[in-house]
Amino acid sequence: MASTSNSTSSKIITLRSSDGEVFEVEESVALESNLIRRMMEDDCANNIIPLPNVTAPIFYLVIEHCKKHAEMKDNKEKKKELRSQGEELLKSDPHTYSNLMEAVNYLDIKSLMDLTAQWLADFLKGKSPRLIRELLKIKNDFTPEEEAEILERNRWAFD
Amino acid sequence: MIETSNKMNWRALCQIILLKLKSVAWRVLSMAKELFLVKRVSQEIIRSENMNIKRQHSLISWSDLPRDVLHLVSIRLHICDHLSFRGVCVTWRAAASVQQFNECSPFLLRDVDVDNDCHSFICPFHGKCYKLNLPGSYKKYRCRNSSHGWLFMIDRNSEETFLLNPFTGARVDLPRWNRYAVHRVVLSSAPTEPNCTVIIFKFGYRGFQFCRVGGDEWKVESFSPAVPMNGIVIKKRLYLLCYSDYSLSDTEATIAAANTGTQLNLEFVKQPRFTGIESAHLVESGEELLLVIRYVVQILNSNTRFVVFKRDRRTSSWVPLKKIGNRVLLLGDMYFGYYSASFIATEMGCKENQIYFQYRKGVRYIWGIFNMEDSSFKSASWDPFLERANSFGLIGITSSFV
Repeated sequence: MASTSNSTSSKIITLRSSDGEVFEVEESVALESNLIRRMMEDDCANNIIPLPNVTAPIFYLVIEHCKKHAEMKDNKEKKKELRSQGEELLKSDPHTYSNLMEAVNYLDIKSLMDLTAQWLADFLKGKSPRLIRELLKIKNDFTPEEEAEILERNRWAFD
Repeated sequence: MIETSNKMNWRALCQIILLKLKSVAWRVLSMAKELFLVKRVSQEIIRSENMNIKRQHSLISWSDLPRDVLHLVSIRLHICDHLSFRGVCVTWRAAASVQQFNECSPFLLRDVDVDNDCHSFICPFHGKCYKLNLPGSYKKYRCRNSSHGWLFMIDRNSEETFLLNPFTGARVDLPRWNRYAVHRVVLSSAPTEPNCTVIIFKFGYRGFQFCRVGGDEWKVESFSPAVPMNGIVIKKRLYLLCYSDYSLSDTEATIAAANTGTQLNLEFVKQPRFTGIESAHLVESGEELLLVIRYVVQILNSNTRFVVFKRDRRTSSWVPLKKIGNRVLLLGDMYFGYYSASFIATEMGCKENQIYFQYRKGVRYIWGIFNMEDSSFKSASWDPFLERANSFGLIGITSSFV
């Protein structure tokens, strides 16, 4: 809770996304990323840290989630809020969600990785492969033979 | 004069008109040009924006996600959802291996639904029901037991006997089993592993019958005074549960083990004396061997209680446990094949220190939950027996893909 009010005292780190946008982020937030932590340990901290694999809109999302996650500790309501936001993004814009997951993985943010994976797992629960493909816009790339084998092996019908 | 001046005027007029027309035409032309240009520019902007969006979005799609990320998601899914996950696309299938679910998710299996020719699998903790059409027709077979995730199937008429993995459809044939009721089938390992032995305990029999997978007959091992009714194999060691009144020496156990020729060590474990015992279960829980006894206290109403012991391997004795911690136990009765299993409560999404069990009340079966913390007991909020009140109870299985 207090982290927002004393933001002036903490150190600011400058990062550049793959499309050239520059972000100024509090050190405490940036250090959630193990990748940035390692880069800082390797003494790249004085310059702008480049993030060649993350675009600005996605990076913005990551920072937002990191900030909220830091606030969320021992706060059940915030936890719920963040969760519903994650679920909303997954429903409305699954493509961005997949990019968010990729970025979180690249930046190596453990806590956020667990959260985003859990939200996706909860989203997938009780859904058939076809419905999952439809909702997340995933191409069915199985050969007809593979598809037939999968159907033969587990013909699950959900109640 | 007038004529010439008139002519001059006409000419001038014409020239003026022409000029005006020219300028108008020019203006129209330039306006058109401008419009066209603007359009082109805006189109380019739009196109480049599109490309930008596309570029951002085409960076990664669901099927391009790194394997680690997909794996993290897949391990959070219950077995049926895990199977769906594997059916989405090639990368997802590759990221979610089936092996990780070996001995992981428990199910209750309702006997074959004859009308639909399918099996109902029920989540024991939350009651969610899944239906699975087994490959081929299994109408005429009856499943009476399970071990290592494999079902022990017997043909109702021909006594054809085999083990079936309901998740992979794999089948391992066994010698014909006579129609005497089975109350416990124990596999020494998954039947796909070498030297797997199938051990069967049946009602009123002083010993057990066994057969090596690939063997052609059931062999008998009997012990004259001792009546092992129940057994469990943990790490190549067969524990046989005997009543406390009987005792068998270690030498006798060694001789029996040698007789079976199964490469299993035998150990007799005595059941402590207790009044009102309804059933006793051996449970493998992590590294420990547990003995769970269900008994009834006759005060006003008959109250179901449980007592749990831990095997002290050093002194070969049972140590009572007050609590089972972050564990949840799953116990069946004899129609359940004395199924017993232990799971980590938080992984299964239920409260710790609980025992889920099947018991008979009058003509009906009830799915009950016993809380070790306060010795309270309640029926589960969902009733797996509701649909078919006269069914033969449920068979507990653990998912296996081996």
